[in-house]
Amino acid sequence: MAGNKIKLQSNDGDTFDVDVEIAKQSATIKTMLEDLGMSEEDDVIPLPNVNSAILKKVIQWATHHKDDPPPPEDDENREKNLSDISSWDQDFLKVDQGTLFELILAANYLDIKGLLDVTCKTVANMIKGRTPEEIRRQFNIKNDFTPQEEEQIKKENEWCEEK
Amino acid sequence: MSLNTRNKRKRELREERVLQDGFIFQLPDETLLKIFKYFTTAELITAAGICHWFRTIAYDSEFWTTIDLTTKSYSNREVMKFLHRFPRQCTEVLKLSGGSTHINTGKPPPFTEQLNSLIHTSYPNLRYLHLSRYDFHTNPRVIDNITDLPPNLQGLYLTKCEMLATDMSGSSAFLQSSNKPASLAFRQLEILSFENSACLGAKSISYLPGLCPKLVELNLNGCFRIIATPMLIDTLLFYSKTLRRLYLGGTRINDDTIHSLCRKLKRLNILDIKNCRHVTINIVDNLLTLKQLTTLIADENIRTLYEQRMIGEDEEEKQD
Repeated sequence: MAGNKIKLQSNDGDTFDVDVEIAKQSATIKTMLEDLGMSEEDDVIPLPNVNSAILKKVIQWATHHKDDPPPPEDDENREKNLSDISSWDQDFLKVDQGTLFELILAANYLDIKGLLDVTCKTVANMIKGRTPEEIRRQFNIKNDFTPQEEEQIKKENEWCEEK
Repeated sequence: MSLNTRNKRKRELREERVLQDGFIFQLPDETLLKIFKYFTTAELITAAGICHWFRTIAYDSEFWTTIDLTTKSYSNREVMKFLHRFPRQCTEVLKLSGGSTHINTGKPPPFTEQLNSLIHTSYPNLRYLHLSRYDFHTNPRVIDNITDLPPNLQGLYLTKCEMLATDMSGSSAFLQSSNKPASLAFRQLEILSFENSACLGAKSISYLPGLCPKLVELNLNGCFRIIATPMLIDTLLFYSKTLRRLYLGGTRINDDTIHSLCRKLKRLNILDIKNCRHVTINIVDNLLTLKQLTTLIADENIRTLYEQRMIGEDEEEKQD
């Protein structure tokens, strides 16, 4: 039945009315509705791992992508092309790092493959083509290697002369 | 990624009293694995030098079953350092490219003895080896042949390579080394590709049945020196019991060649005869006798007629 709505509740208590078809992009919610026999009139679906700011973003993303074809399964030909992020998604993901990683966690928990793919690609793009120092600064990573390990890493990187 | 690995990492971090508090450390290992899937081998090595967690993920064997060094052009020196530095038991696919032509000579780099033996020793469990843009010219300093293959190799791809032919005096054939008997690894090869290795002639594949008797796939696409000779037909027909995929696109075979092949190579699933100037639509009748063919790659006119006739045959069968 088109136009049916369900209520999703964030871990800080806000509830959101969402079209069933939009919510079903989350395999987690889809399973709850179909396998566990929850019907749409049931009260609310609690999402204890997602706060309301992030849930709002997720719903915004899912609404924009509601007519997308299902994303292809991961296969052998792993997709290394990182340039195919749509401009809408690029704008959508112009957020601070805290939000970006919370979106990844939410996409992971809600099992929304399309959102997980595009957020992971975004992080991959932030790492690609940078020096180790730049990467550490970018993500606030501390160099936790021992001097011996540092020596090993230096050797490993010697093979490629352009660096 | 297992719980063990995660606990190990936490233990390591605790021991060294380094507390990582960047946002990225909230991610589970699985997600970092997913992110690293977008990296090339060289980028994985960079990532492995960032912190312990990145290192564990970047060196996960999942990323090293296939090593592809063709995304950028590396010198022989770099490739050899790499092979020496990163030996892996888990690697099944290795792709190397000699890269762009040499600045001084205009030729691709030579395939050297060291390359040959390093591949073998560093990747003992290799299944598929891709070598593209290498020069196998006879040269006193380097070998002009592949003498040694990892023992379990199933597929050897030599694309855009030079001088794979028999030498001028005709004494040595490519892949067949003169001083020792063909190794077992060659005998069990199932896939052999010479794609776009334009120098290859029909004569220089005539020894293949003796060397690699079990070929399931043979790729001669773009080898325009392959011409319609009885020797070529004999070579190919030897494989009537095994061959399932045959690529002859862009070669100079003709209708007679196809006629002979279709009589014997009944197991073919894939046949590529695209851009063969001497092949005409007259061979469609012959193609229809290949009952196991699932993919025909051919010029538009041949394919269209083939498909029409296929539908026609299906309908006749139904009426019967």
